[in-house]
Amino acid sequence: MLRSLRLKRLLQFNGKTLYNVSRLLRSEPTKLTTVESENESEAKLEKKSMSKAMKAYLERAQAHDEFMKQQNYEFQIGKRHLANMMGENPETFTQDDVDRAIEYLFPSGLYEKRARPIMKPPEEVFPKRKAAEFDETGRPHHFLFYTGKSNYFNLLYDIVEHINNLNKYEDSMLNKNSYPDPNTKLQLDGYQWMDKEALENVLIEKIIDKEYTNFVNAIERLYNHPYSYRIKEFILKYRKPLMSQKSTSDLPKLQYDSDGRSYVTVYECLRKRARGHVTIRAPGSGIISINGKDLMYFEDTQPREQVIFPLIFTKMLNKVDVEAYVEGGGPSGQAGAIRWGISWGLRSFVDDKIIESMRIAGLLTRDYRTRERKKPGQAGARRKFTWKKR
Amino acid sequence: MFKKPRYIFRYNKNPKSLITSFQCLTTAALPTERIDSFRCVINNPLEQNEGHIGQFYRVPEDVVSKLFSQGGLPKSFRIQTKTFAETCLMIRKPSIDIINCIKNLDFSKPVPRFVLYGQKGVGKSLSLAHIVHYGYEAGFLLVHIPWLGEWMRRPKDSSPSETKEGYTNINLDIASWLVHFKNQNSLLLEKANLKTTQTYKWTKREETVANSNLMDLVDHGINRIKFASDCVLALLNEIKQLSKSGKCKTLVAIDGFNAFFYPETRIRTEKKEIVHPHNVSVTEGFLSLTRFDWKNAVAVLIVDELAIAEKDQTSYFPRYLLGKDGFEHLDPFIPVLVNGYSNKEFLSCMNYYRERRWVQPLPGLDDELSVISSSNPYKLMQLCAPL
Amino acid sequence: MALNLMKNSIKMNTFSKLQVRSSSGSSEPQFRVLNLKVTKSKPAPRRQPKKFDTAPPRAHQMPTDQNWGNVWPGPRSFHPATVPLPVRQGYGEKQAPPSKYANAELMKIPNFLHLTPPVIKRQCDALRKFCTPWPKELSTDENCEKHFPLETTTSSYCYSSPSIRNSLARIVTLRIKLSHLPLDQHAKDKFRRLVGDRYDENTDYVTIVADRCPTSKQNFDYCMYLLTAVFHESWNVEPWESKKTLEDMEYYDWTKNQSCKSLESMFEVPFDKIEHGKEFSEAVSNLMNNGENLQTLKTYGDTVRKLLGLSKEI
Repeated sequence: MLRSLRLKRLLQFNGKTLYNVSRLLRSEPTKLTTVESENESEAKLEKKSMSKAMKAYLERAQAHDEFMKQQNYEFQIGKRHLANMMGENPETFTQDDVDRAIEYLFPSGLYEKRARPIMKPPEEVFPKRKAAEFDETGRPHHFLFYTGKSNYFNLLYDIVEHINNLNKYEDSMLNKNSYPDPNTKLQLDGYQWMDKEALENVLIEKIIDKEYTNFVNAIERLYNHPYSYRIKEFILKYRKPLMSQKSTSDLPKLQYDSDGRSYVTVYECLRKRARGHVTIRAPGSGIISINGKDLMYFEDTQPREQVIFPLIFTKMLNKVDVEAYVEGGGPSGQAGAIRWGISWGLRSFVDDKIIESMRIAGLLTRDYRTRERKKPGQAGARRKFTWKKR
Repeated sequence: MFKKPRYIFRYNKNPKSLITSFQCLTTAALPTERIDSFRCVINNPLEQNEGHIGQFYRVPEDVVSKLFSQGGLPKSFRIQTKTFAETCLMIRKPSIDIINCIKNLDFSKPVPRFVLYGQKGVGKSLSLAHIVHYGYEAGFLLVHIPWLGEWMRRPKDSSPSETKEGYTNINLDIASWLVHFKNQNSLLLEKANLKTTQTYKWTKREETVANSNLMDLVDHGINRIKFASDCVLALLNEIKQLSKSGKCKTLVAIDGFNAFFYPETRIRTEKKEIVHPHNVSVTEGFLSLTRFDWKNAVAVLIVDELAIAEKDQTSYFPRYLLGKDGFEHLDPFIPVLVNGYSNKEFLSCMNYYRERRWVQPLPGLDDELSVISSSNPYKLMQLCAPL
Repeated sequence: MALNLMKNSIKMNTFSKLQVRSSSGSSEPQFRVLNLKVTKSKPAPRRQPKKFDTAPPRAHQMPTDQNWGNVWPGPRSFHPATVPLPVRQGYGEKQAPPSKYANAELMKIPNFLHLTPPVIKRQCDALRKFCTPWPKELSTDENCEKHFPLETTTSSYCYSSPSIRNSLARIVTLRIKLSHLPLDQHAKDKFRRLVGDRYDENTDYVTIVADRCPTSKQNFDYCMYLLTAVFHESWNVEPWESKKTLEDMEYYDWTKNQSCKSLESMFEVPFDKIEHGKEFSEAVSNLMNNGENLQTLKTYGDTVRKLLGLSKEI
């Protein structure tokens, strides 16, 4: 009771922005007692000097609050206006309705979707600000504040601490003459370490490539520790699945044509400059038609092999019929597009095990590589003109 | 399915001995059901029928040297036969179809003309080779041009004709064709008493008198290359007369027949003008043999995209390849389609290759090859070469 | 573990210092200015840029239940003070999207502020009393086409340039199905030759486009004139038309061709007395007129076999 009262007073001069201080007090009960024991008089606390940085921050924060309030008000009024314009009830006008109405009133075909007109609540529009990292006297909360990247170095610190703990545990186990069981070793094969950007988002700090490598090295070492299964949760926080394995619900549903045969059509099969769509029908007898011709559409052997590879891989060569339409690009691009289309469509006809092996074989991966443009002042994309001294 | 053969095959330097050893093994050691799979026991085309379609039969070496030493088998196939140490032809539907028709033919009626057509590499020339072999066994006089494109697209020489104004001779090619003709028909010409009906005067001193042997005419063309074209015209005329009078039966087989109607040859006059095929002196003779106005004969012709320039190879159908003139010249003819391998033929071919140790028996090989080659025999041959 | 302990101790330390400071600090030290020149007078204040008084945006005074159609009655480019919506357009890496004020992008894009659903409804209601019911006889497309086979297309243009005339409005397209015109075989053939590529074989439509006159009325008259002239001309038979050769024929007539002659010379009787002769003529015409494919060639081959008395294909 007393404590909360004190706290209130502490926060009196600006109840809102100093929540950081309160957080500090809450998280460190020992400190709180110190404050209580040493700061007996309230007057002293009020008179307490404030750093200039803190003062400036408080002013800024207040102005921001005002601004946000104003924006919020405008948004609410605007929403009512919009509902009125569209002839709908402003009380039940949701954000979805707002988006739809804006799209109707300001139709924009701009390629970049972010560049189109929007009307969103101010919380979404304005970027979030970082709260104060220091207290009213200008003293930082975090012990690694002066490294400039407190969260990052704290993470490294934690990793090392975990390694030390595990080593200690290993020593004690060795003393008891027990060795780590290789079966219980942590196995996270389908995962990879969080990439740099994701890590930055977690840390709310920008890190450089070298720092990211340091992080990977450290956590790799932790992961390879024979007792790393004891801190699985910690490790899993920084590991994410390699490729989202498509669940069966993602697969396109089989459709049925007038003959009662099931079929699946894959649209937008792209490779290089080739575009096409592929229809797979089952049961079939292995008839492959490409733009109305048979496999002879491709004059060379290589593209033909490309086309039938997924069928051979899944052993479906004589069980399905394939109908493909493709345009643009050359034979190799067209064959690649059809190959991807066939593999993508075949997922609906084979079981999960084969889908997984197809994924590992790289059949389900889109090949995004395209021709690199020629550069001015160069002979080609990368090739330079023959260098002549004069 | 194919079972592992029970005999041991070894590449032998002497193909004869190999064949004999193979022959006795097939006939003696193997049971009859075994032979049904892909090898035909009947090597005589006279006795083959629809039941043998898809099987391979062996052409005896002496017959091969007699019939096809100067051409008639495509080069890539010849190389393969050398590797396999035997000449095996597959009995296929189009050739059996035509042979059936010839067997039941009423020879007193006008000459029927068969036109084989199909995509590149489906085996038109080998079907023709089969028919020529049949004609040889059945005692036909063979007038066989192995590849007309050779004359029209890659002539060895050209000279203006002396006897006919405005015509061009390709004597070297014609002389070598006379050798081919002589090879193919030597037995028949000796046996049958074929005499010329009129006297041909070549120069003041040289002449072929009437009622002399047909062979003299041929020999004259071979010895005096200058008169080869005129000799051929005379010879073809004589053959037509003899057939009409019923003294012999004739089989006209021309590969790449549409080259006679494709206006751009690569033969040039002395003024470097392109010669139209109708202005090549021998054309007239061969065209007259492919008309219907005679009897005791059969014409089997191939229209092929490869016989014309590459820029015009857009369709393999006979009306397109022959053009208006060619179509009217042949009409009414019997178009016979040559397709790629059927499933049975494909399997038989793969089994043959395996028996020759040409491809390795791998699982799933047949399916993949049949799809990649689209059952095109030539493509299949190419694909199997490195396997 | 040791490091962790240290971490705690550091925190303790910082806090004890804080105590010291807070207890000792009485007033905030002022920042002293170093005055080297010892100037007494104050520096002249900077001139402030003059601010003009402008009225607040009109949108601020709008009631939320106003009639928007009256505020924004016609098409007009975006105006931030009149539109009471906090719309934004554009994006940046760190800052918020630019607001509607002084945002040229919002003025560039088209808007439908004059055609909101209530306004459309109101306009439709106003127009409804001038509408008549659709004739029952023209309920289906087939009926429309049957009763009105001639189709003309013109385009009207409406836009906010200084001139209200658009030169594209003069173009008139006339379309009619050839089967709707009463033509016999000769006239039809001649008609097709006269119109050339204006006839589409797949859809059977004749399309005439006129754009040579300055107004659409004149162009329409010209289209009608063309159609009439071509129609009547196609019915005329000129004396030179009898000189048509085989090369000029638009289709293959077997009886006039070499094929018929060679068949007759082969059998030495007129073609109508030959067995299977009719079948053969049909097969050849089919082959020539419909183009050769596997099917037509097969029928041709089969009839020739019958004609020559050969055994059938296996």
